[in-house]
Parts: sequence; C-alpha cells; structure tokens
Amino acid sequence: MQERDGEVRLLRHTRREAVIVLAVWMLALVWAVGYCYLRGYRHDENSVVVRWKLVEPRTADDLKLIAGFPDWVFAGIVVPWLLCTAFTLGFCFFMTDDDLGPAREGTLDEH
Amino acid sequence: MSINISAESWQVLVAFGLYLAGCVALGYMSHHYLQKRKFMASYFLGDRGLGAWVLALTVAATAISGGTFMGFPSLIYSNGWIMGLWICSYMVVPLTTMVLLGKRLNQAARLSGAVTLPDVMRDRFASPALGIVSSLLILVCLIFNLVAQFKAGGLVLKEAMRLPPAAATFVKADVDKKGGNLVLAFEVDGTTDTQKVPLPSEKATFLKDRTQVREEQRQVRVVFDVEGETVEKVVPFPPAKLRVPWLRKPVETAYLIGLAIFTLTVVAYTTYGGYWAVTLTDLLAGLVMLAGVIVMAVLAVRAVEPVNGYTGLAAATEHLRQITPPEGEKGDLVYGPGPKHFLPLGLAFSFFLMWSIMGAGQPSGLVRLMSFKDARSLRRALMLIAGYYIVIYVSLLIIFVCARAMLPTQYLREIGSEGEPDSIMPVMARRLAHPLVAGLLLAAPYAAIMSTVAAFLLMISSSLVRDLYQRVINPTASQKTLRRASYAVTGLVGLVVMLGAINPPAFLQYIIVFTASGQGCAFLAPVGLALYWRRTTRQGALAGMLGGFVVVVGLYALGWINNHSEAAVREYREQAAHARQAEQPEPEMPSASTWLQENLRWIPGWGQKPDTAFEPLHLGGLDPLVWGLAASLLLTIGISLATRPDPALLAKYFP
Repeated sequence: MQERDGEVRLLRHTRREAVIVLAVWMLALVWAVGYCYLRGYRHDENSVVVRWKLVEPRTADDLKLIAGFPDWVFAGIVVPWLLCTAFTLGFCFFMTDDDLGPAREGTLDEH
Repeated sequence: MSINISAESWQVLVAFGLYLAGCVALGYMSHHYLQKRKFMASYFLGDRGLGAWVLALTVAATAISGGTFMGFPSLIYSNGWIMGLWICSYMVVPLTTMVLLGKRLNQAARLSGAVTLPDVMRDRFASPALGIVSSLLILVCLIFNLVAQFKAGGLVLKEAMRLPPAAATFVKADVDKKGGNLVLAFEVDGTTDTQKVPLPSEKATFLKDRTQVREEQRQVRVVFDVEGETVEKVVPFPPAKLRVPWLRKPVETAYLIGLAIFTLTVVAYTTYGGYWAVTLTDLLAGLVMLAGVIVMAVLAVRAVEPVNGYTGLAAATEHLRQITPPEGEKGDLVYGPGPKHFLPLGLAFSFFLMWSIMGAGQPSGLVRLMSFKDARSLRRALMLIAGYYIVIYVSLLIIFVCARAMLPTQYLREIGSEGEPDSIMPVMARRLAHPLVAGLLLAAPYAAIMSTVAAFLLMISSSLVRDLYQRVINPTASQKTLRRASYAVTGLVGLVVMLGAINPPAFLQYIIVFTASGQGCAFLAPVGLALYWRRTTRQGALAGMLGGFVVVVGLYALGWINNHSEAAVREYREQAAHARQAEQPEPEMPSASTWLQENLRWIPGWGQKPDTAFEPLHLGGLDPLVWGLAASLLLTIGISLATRPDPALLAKYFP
C-alpha cells in the first residue's frame, strides 16, 4: 500500500513539473522567436509589422553590438538562454526526489 | 600500397589514437563488469544504475552528433548570426528532454521491467503489435541515420590523415560549360580522373599556357587574369582511390581507411561492452567535446583581425556586417532571415520545435531516461547539462562567426572559394592550433559521431534481440543464447552499415533530419500521453504513432515529387525559350511534370523552387515535423476517446 502511495505522489509531482516545463518552453519560444523576428529581421517598409509600428526597418549600418553580439542576438537569444539556464538550475532544487520504485526485472531475463 | 602521412598529420593522429585507445579500454572494462550482472538489463540498459555525471554526458553526447560538429559549423559559416535563432531552443532542451518524461518513464519501465522503449509501450498497453510497430519504426529510421553518421566518421578521419594525392599525369585544364569552375583532367593508372576548382572570380580569364605541373609535389599551378591582375591557384592531383568490387566508381583510399578504423573501434567497444561501454565512452566524449570547443573558441576570438577599433568577437561581427554574401545584400550575415532567405519566420518556429520537442521524443534519448539510478541523479544531471549545452552551442556560434570573419569567401560553394563549407571545422582546427591540440579538436566531432553511432547501434540491436527475438520469436531463450545473439547482431549491423557507407546516398543531412523528425513525430505524443493521460488506449497510441510517421514521410515524398517536377518544367521552359530564340524546334514538354505542377497548385507551398532535390514540402511555410506532431497528437487523443482503456492496466499504471 505504501508503495502505491509513492506511485500516486510521483504521478502528481511529475504532472505538475511537466506543466511548469511546458509553460517555460512556451515563454522561451515567444521571447526568442518573437523578439528576434521583430528586432533581428529586416522587414520591408510595406510589411504589416512596420505599418503597425511594431518595428522600424533595419539596415546593416544601424547594427549595435553588445559584448560582441548583434544587439538582437544578445537580447533575443543570449539573455533568455542565460535565464533558462538559471531557471533550470533553480528548478533542480524545486524538483522532488520521488521514489521510482523497485525495478521488476522481467522474468524474461531469468532464463 | 604504401601510405605516406606528413609529420603534422602524424601528430594529429597521435592525439586521435589516444582518444580511441581510451574508448577501447572503457569497452574492455565494461565487458568485465557485464560478466557479473544479469545480461539483458545490463547490456541494453546499464542495470538502471546511471549516476548524475554519466547520465548528463550520455544524454548530451547522444544528442550531439556529427551534424553538430560538421553540418552546424558550415551553416554558421554560410549564414552568420541567424544560426543563433536556428539553434537557440537548446535553452529549454534540458527541461523538455529530461524533466517532461524522465521520472515517469523511468518509473513505468521499472513497473514492467522494460529494457527498451518498445518494451514500455508493449507492456503499458499489453499489446505485442504496439511493441513490434515501435521496433520496426526504430529499425528503419536508425539504419538510414547510421549510414550518414558512419560517412561523417570516415570523413573526419580522412581529414586527420590527409594522405598525399595519387601519382598521376596531368592531361589538360578547361573552364566548364557553366563557366564557374576550372576542370583539370589527369590520367591515373590508365583511367581519367578530374579535379574541379572554382574560378577566383566571375571576371576571371583562365591563362591556359601559363599552367605549370609540379610532379614532385603532385600539384598543378593554374593562373588567371582578373581585370588585369594575375591570380594563381594551386590544385592538387586527384586523391588516391581504390576499386571496390561491387561498385562502378573507385572510392577514395583515405575515406575507406577512415571508415574501416571508425567501424572497427566503435563496433568493437559497443559489441564487447554494451550499454556501460557506450555511456562511459559518452562521458569521455562529452569531456573531449567540452574541452575542444572551449579551447577553440578562445583561440578563434584571439585570431580575428581588429577592424574599425573593434577586437575579438566584436571585430568578427563587424567583419560580417561588411560582407555582402553571394546573391545577397550587405548585412545578411548579421540579420534575419539570413542569406537567400535562409530562416523565414515559419522555419524559425519549426526549428524551435525541432530541437526542444523532437529531442524529447527520440528513442535513443528516451532509453537513457529509463536507465538513471534515482530521482536525485536526474536532478543533478539536469544541473550539469544546462550548463553544458549553453557552453557548447554558444562557443560553436562564436567559433564559426570568427571563421567567416577570418576566411570571408574561401569555403563557400561559390566562385572564388577554396573548399566546401563542410570542411570548415577541420580547417579551423588545423589553422588555430598546434597539430597535437588540433588532434584533440578534431577528436571532438569524431567523439560526437562515435557516441551517437554507439547509442544507435545498441538501439537497433536491442530492437532485434529483445523486442523481436526474445519477446516474439523465442521467449524462452537462455541467457547464453541472448548474449551470443546480442554480440552477433551488434557486430553484424555495424558491418552492414559500414558497407552501405562505402557508397552513401546523397542528401545525408536531410536523411538525418528526416529520420529524427519521423521518430519524434511517431513517439513523442503516444509515449507522453501513455504516461500521463489515463484515457490513452492502445488503438489511440498505435494510430498516433503511425499517423505522425506517415505524415512526415508523406510531406517528404510530396516535396520530392514537387522538386523533380518543378525542375523538369523549369528546364523545359528555359530550353524552349532558347530554341525559340535560335529558331529551332522546341523540345518535348514533360507532360507528367507539367500536369503535377499545374494541378497540385492548391497545396500551400507547392511549386516553390527548392535548394536541393530532397527538400520536403513546407506546407504553409512550416517543417513537416509540425504537421506530423499535430497529426500524432490529434490521432492519439481522438482514437483514444473513441475506444476504451483496459481497467487492469489503468490500475497498474494509474493507482
């Protein structure tokens, strides 16, 4: 019975952890792809994003560098990557050390 | 046959040899450990005893393959900073590949005593059919993928050896019909062989009478006139080649030797040592790769020439800002979507999904999640791998952005280049470091390829021996029989794949992406839902598995048909226009291709001109994996809702 309680707990914890991971994944997707598309792509003056004033068209001459990276790479890729790495490290302390249960090596292995 | 290797190449080979000796020693140790354990669980799953370090580095080394160290660098070199967006979903890969399914999959495998992924699916739904289908999908995908990996292994060793060219007689040199390359003809052992070299520029004129043959150095000096300036190029004699009995064309000797050494080492330690050998060599490979990229990144940043007051990486970016790539405009290398519209928004989204979500559904990664010791090992491994990925991928980006700044035109497939972009990794290793260090740097891609190959070999072997032979054909097979069968199958598969890699098919990078997409779309949704959603049924899982795979295959097949028919129609139109101009009779119209191009226009993405003939159909601008994943998810959920789960299995897996 105690073993089954452990299984219930593990299922509950892993479901919760999976939901958090999917939320972080979604955030990272929106940040990286969204930001890089708006700030790191060159858009035509007639494109929707320019007409809606979400971005200004960029040229090779207005590129800014941060720590050697193009500004959009730094803000759209390096920063979220560092934050994701920091989150992952923090998440390791949040994750529970659930008991995975005994390995019931199949009878197939005993011949 | 005598083999002459330069002193520099010997030093590179010594560093290589040390790495290979380490792998073989680990294989030997693992074999002795195996003797004391239960064979199947130990040979295919490492006794479910992987600790944090081994787990972290084996997951990383399996995911990082030949493509990471050969194809990815060439793409950075060709396309610039946009490759940061292409690869950046690795920021969440530790979470998606290890946390999403890790503990639950490990628990499910322990509950049923499963040793392989098909085992898990078979036992979760008590369905031998599901086990067999899973095994067959893994077999088909991995065998194709392995041929590509073996080829990459042979190519790295060929680069490390750098054998001198063949003894040949120079015959003639002429510019080819399209006017982009100079073709040099040689006579080698009574047959004609050619070497092709791009012209130094579009305006170059070949000065035939100034061609000079240097017999001793086995090279030809060719001279061009480029707008009044003399430019010379040195072209080596053709590489030494060997005849393979069943092939029409001879194969490069250095590639054959490289392939043989690669096969011998990787097949030997995998066969002899099993899962423990594979994971321990992964640990060694992981450390070699990490050291290799860090050393190379530091050397590359220091080697970039300062410009406009910038130094280091800033100077490299500034160099890239000023470059106008072929068929592009200034700034293409520092902004999206990159040269030749490389990464439009739809593909940027698709690639984010590709690495982060497809990675979570790869059977080779999933089997590693079945083998860790306890939840604490998983947590610690997660910490290690998060730091590992950011160092490896950001370093690779930096190294090959610097490479483009240092060698702006030399390694493109264009006029003016010296070699192929795929050779940029070995070129940079040799350019930046002492030969002994270059040997270590070259060992990094080799280690990446070896670790992926070893993991895949074991997966194929387990599919055949455990999932098909032991579980379907002969459930009462003894330990001794299984042990012999496992050794024989692992060795035999390695040998068969090596024979396939002697004359590998073209478009290998696409085959790797295709098989990875196929496996991810087949397994991720059914396995994820089987573990977390109690309503999942075996019919739903089977439909999702087959549906995801078929959609990916279908979109690749449609792409292939589109590419061929589009090329045929385009060629016909060009020839017809040319004929009309010359008042000659028009060529015959390719009726089937024209019909396909005209009648399938309603398919979004149909009729677009592809970069290569194997490119898939990007339906709605998205990669096939997006559609495959969506189909697999919908089918698994839809069919499961229409059928009923087995109450006994629910009680077992969902207490």
